[in-house]
Amino acid sequence: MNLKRKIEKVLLNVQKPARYIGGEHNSIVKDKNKVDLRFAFCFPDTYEIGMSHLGMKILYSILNDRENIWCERVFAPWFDMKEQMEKENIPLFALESLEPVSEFDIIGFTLQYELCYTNILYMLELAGIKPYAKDRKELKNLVVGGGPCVCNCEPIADFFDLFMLGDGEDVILELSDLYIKHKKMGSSKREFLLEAAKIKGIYVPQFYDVSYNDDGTVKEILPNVEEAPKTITKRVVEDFDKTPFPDKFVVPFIDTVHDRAVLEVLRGCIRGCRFCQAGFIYRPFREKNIDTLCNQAKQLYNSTGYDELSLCSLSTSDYSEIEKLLTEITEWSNKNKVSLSLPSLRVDNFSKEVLDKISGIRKSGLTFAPEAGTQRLRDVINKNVSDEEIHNTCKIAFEGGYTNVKLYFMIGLPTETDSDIEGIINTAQSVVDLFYSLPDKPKGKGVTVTISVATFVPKPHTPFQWEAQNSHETVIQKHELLKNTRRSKKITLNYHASNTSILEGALARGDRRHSKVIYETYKSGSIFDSWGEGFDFEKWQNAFLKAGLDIAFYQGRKREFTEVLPWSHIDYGVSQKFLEKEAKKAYLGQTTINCRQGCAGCGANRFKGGECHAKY
Amino acid sequence: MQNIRIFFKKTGRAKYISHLNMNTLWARVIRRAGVNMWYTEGFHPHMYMTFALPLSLGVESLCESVDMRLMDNISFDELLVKLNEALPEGIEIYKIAEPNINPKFINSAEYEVTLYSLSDYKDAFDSFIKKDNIEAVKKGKAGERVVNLKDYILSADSETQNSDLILNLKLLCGTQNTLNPQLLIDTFLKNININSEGAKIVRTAVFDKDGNLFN
Repeated sequence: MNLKRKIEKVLLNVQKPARYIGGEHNSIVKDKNKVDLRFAFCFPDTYEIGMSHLGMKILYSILNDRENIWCERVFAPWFDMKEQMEKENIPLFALESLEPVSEFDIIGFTLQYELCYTNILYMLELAGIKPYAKDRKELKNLVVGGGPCVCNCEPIADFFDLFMLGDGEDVILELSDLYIKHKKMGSSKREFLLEAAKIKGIYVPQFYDVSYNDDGTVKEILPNVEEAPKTITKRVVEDFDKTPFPDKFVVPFIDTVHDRAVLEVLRGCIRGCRFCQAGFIYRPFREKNIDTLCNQAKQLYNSTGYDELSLCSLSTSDYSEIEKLLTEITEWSNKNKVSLSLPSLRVDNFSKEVLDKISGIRKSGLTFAPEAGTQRLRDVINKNVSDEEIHNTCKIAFEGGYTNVKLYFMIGLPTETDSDIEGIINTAQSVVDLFYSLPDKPKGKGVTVTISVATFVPKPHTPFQWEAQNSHETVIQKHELLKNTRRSKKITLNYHASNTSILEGALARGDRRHSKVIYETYKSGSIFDSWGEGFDFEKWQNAFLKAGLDIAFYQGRKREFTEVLPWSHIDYGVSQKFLEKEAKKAYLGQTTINCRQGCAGCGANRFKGGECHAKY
Repeated sequence: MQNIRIFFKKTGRAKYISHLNMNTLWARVIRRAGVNMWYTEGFHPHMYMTFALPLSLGVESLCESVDMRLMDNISFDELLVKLNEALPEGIEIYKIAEPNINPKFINSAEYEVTLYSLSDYKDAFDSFIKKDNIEAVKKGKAGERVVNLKDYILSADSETQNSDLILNLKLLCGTQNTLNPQLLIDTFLKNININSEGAKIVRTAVFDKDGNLFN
């Protein structure tokens, strides 16, 4: 029985078979005999999650625009499909050709969150590929990684042949070209990797030795070959406005998490919230021109038929000409019955004009993220938003007919006390009170303020990278305090008391010794850790124990500024000096101006082409 | 504004697109083609469309149809070309016409079923289908109930083709009584106790209660 028929046989036994069969509009099928390189782009989560990811769409399009490269998509099969595939001996396959991933030259994983790490091993083994890089001797099946988690990829370093740091648009083609050259020359894997290590932004972990101190901290990270630089610096695309953006998206048959056209309005963030990893690792701040964005919107509409368009970025309302952009886009979108969504709005620059533009089409809830409950703590985290701004924005929203407001907060932030936690409830209560004080409030409707409370996870390359994370017990106590402080029934309180953020905290700042832990956990049957169906903390605890490592050492320990961090050889543009200065200012409750008010000197403007578009 | 009926084939990988997802798919196809169809005028306007018959997940068809209301002044030939360019692999329009038969009069459908590598079981099928009573559990909105599949079978022939067993079935299909061919096949396979390599099912024709071809 051939593979295709085997796949078809099991598809009717699983939920949503369209996840596994490809054939979507705009998916790209080439003749495998006419290409020099086959690239399997793997997203280590379900189809619905992976198909929502913009980075994959960008790189899929860039690779396939090259005639001699065929890039295909691969997602992690859900539990029901896994069972069927194992029963019928079906190896992991790619969606365009329905051929085994083991036939591909490069197998690339995008690393979006720490809890997908076991799924990498799951996918490799399902493909029949050895998970440890040292066990893969051939050049073929080169396993590479990219995405935000690469900024500390040490926990998974043993599984990967190389990582790409920063913007992927240019480096992925440079890597592919080098691979094609060496494939044609019949080079060994080592010969290829030595050359790859010379490409800016490429990190080959096996060319670095890590030594440890007696107390378990890292002593030194040193290259062991001449070709490998002492520090690996991330890549930044030369001209963000002109960098290739897909004119087509693969249009899924089934509902995905974000099933719509997406524009990347800007990259980076001017804000510098001290907890936010994305706010630092995507620097410098860069914007696209309005004309570029309008053209891309029309192209995507014509090629996909989507009736929803999302203006995506870390903070879309920080786009320097947001009102002009919205005016031009809505003029076109209203005419074509396309609805517009702005997923990331800030409280402080949310004007009535912006609201009018988006509410003209569909009225759903509004979401804001004050992140902390008191002004003092918001100053500590440099979330420069005041109570007054929150109230002004909510007032505009209520007067515009909105009755649902969602507020995002974090608990466990550095210097947090009980009064900061009570402040979360007080902030929500003041929004409720504001609603009832308004003469122009929507008639005949009540107000709902939903607060979602997440647990703070200190992340590498942020000013809080040295901080201790709260223990599970402390987090639960804080949840209790929240529950007991709330009085109004108009306030809905959402939090979850799972250990996932503890694990995330350990893996985010882990070192190379974690590879063993991840492998062990996977071997004990753990996959899909970001899903309730998959996560089993006990398996992780056992694996840490077996490896002789302590979760709290990574997650709950405050580091000295002088400690060699596991990611100290990885440079994302923002200097360690700057991060340290920011951490010290946090303790003093001092804020830092945003990039538009003035340059704080983070260091990210040194990249070629990485000119800060933030105007000051 | 003009009522139109679009006849299309749904084959290959497209058979895994569920009936529920077909609405979204067609709305996107229409927009990609740059054609204007009529939108409902409710609180959340959406493109008006009705499908004559649902098609089970995993079943291919040579005779599906969807009704829409065309707002543009464009010939059916031109519309057919435009829409086919915008359709994904496996879905292909073969005819656009003014609606004639009301879909509520649809009564039966023909299927061609290929049972891979089961040519040796032709006799087994022939004697299976001759039985007066073929009991199976039918799952419906009202829950599960035991039915006699024979009440739903209008005709059933078999032939062999290389190593495959081919079945030509005419089954009740419509708003009143419907038999999913998969249920008949599963019942047969259970009867001969075979774990098959799978079946290919293709709906080949649809008829109204008077035996007129819905086309």
